[in-house]
Amino acid sequence: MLRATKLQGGGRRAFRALPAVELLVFAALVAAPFLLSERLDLITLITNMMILSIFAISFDMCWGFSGIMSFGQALFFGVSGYAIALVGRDLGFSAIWGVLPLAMATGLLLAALLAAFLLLGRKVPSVIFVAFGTLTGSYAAERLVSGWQYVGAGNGLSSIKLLQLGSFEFVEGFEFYTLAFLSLLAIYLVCRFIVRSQLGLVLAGIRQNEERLAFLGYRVQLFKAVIFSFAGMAAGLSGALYSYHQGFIGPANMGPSLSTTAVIYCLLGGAGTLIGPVIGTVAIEALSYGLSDIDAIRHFWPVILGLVLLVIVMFQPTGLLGLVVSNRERIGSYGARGRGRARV
Amino acid sequence: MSALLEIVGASKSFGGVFAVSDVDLSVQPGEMHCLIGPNGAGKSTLFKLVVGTYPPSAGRIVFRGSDITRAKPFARVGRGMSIKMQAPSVFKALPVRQNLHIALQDHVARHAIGAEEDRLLDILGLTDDADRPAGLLSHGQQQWLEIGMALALRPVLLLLDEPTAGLSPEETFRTGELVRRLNAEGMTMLIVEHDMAFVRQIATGVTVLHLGKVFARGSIDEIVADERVAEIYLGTPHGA
Repeated sequence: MLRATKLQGGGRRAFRALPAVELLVFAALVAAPFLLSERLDLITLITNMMILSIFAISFDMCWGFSGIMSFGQALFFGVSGYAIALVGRDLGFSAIWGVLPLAMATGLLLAALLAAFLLLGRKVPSVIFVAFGTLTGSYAAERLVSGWQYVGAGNGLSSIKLLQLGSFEFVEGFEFYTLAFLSLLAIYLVCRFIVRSQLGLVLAGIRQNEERLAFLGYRVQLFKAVIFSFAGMAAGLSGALYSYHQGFIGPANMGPSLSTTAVIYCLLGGAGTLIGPVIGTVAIEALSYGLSDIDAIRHFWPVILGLVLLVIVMFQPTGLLGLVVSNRERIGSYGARGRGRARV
Repeated sequence: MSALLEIVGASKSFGGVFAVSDVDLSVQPGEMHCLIGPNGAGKSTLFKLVVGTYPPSAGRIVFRGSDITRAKPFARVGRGMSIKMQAPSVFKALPVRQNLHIALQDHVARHAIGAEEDRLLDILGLTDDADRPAGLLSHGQQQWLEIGMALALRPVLLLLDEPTAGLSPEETFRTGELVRRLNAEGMTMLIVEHDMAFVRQIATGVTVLHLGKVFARGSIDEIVADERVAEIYLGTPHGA
């Protein structure tokens, strides 16, 4: 995993920081439940961090890797969360083999529909158009469920039926931690495979020069729609896990506030890196947890988050990860293995 | 022989102002055709109509017998058109080899991509720079790399928009030699250019645009000998 590769133009060998950071983060997540076995509150906190990390990665796939500013990523998170909550309430069904695929399919289909409208029109959409389009979708969904009694209106849906595998129930603690970890690992590995594949090379092209890519014969907007839909699927999985873990889903879980939080997770950690959003999520949630008992700060927390975002955008656009990972490594390796692969 | 590319009565207006007006132009298979004219003549606008950046206000564009007037750029590329933009438009953060890879991977078998990259790097004279980020290449090398990316598509028609823009005289000459070599190997080309030395070096047929209209056509020798063309280039009133 850890390896040094030759820098072009010289014989120096460079340590690759990114795989080291990835390994460190996942090793810490494996070790945490054993080291913190007496602290259920921290196990629950880290479980939540991992679930939200999936959500942050879904945004990163859109913005960090494909240049799609999805300012309404919580739409897929929330709708999938509501979907599994309703299936549990109305059908009494919460088997893991059925509800998690349902949540992912819900996110995927919803994102595909939105992509068809926002990305696949006659004209090439601007970043602003997509940002406002997704934001509007997220806001409209939040307002809709806020006034819809069938889905609990402003109170949301609580006491969500526990996720089951046969007769086994995923309760808060080590069981759910394991599920969240495996889900994060699976999504992470799939995303890592995508961004380092030939499709990843196309995405790198989209980020750098969309028009050039179109003139190489690529259907750029279709590629974007595919990634956007995939990200919707990941956000849907995250939303379902969140609902089961919290036992609750409410209008705020699909609104602009949570959507913006995903942006902050991603930008703080480092967009376009996959591990960056995980680090950003852990940092924000840890800070939030640590400061939650201090009333004076809790009330100003959104303002603090806003300032954090401002500082990142202005002074550290590559996020926390940019402090230890070089730009060339952050841009990464794409395409077929061996020949034609970026050497960093 | 039927034309490979045929532009029939093409016009493009922006807010009522015609950048291109009723232009007819055809490019025969194997031909290397230059489109020249002073600044504001409408060359780039006509080029953009051909590549599909925007549709014409009137007229038709026919390529390989099919009407592509409303086709999107990727569809035109799919039919065998390939484009080099005016400003070097490479993927600067990616290594040179990967710039070619991205152009090749959609239509060349994976096992053959490496050899094709090597062949193109050799043609472009960029073999020693294969692993450098494209953004570190000189301006001229970026222009050649972009020509290489266009060639990677194995086009039947290569469209070059000012391939010598910003190049030194030596780089311009090398670009001319590259273009001549490609044409000698059978590549059909439509080149927008305003560097007359370059056009003299390469051209077989020339169309002069002025104020959005076709002003003159002919061989490079005929165009050079045409005093009216010299006048529009130098800004001297006709007959003065």
